Amino acid sequence: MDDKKLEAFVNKVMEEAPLESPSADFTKNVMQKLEVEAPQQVFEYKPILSGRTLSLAFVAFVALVFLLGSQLGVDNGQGWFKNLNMESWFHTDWGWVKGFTFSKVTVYAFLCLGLMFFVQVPWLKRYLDKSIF
Amino acid sequence: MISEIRRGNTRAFSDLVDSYKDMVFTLSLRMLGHREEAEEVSQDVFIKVYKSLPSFKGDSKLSTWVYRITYNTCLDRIKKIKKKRIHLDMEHADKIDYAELDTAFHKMVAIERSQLIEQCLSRLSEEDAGILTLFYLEEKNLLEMEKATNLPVNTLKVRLFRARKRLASIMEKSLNKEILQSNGSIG
Repeated sequence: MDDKKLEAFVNKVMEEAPLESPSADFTKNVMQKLEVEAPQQVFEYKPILSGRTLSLAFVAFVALVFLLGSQLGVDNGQGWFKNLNMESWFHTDWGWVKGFTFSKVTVYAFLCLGLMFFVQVPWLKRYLDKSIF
Repeated sequence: MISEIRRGNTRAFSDLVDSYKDMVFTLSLRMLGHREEAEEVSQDVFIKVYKSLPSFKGDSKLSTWVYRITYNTCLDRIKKIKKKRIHLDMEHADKIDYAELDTAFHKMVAIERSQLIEQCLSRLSEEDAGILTLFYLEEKNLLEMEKATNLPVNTLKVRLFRARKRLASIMEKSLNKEILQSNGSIG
């Protein structure tokens, strides 16, 4: 019986017990601490290709250049390069552009695409503003 | 809110801090008995919450999970500072007349009552104060408390019972003292 009374009394007391509040700038302090401690983890920079892969690719590329050089020669007038006909690269024939036409559907599709792109810009901006800060 | 924070939305996290700071601070203060220490520990608690939020699976309420981190951080801090408050004896609690105690308690003005509660809670051991505070923060849900403290329900019941007895005993002594003092000042 006394146990019930004890429980009822403590219930009353604890329900009246005030919740304590920390200092006024508590949240600000926590956020500052987070900024100091967390950025290494949250915004850690990770390259798409690891250093190892990049150095392997570089070695492979150098090896390929040496292989091609030794097999085909390095002078412009000999081996593989003479077949490239590089002269024509700098005298392009633009005649085909004159006769080129778009269908109306393609033009409207491009216009729509452009419009949608510009609609997305403010929408994306607002979304990023909201999620980062 | 949790998914927003996981995506790196710091504003959502500051909202979370605002909603839980009083509860976390109250639990820390009652367990540690020192405002500055409690403030420091509460800050650490929120840093831990932020860092371990990706591993929060949602198998308990978010509040329970936050209290669990708070409770454990406080226990760690107490171990570190090695300054334990001792358990007071509770033999005396069996002789208390609760009706009389209740009347005396309610004769006090509300502000005095909260001051007295605060004083009495600060005289409990950190274990008793922690368990009692958690019980009411968790709205008397022992199953949630089990998750927060990692203690089985039966152990919690025993500890709660002891904590209640000790609190009543401390309150009785303090109320008697108050009554004597006020009688003295009148007479």
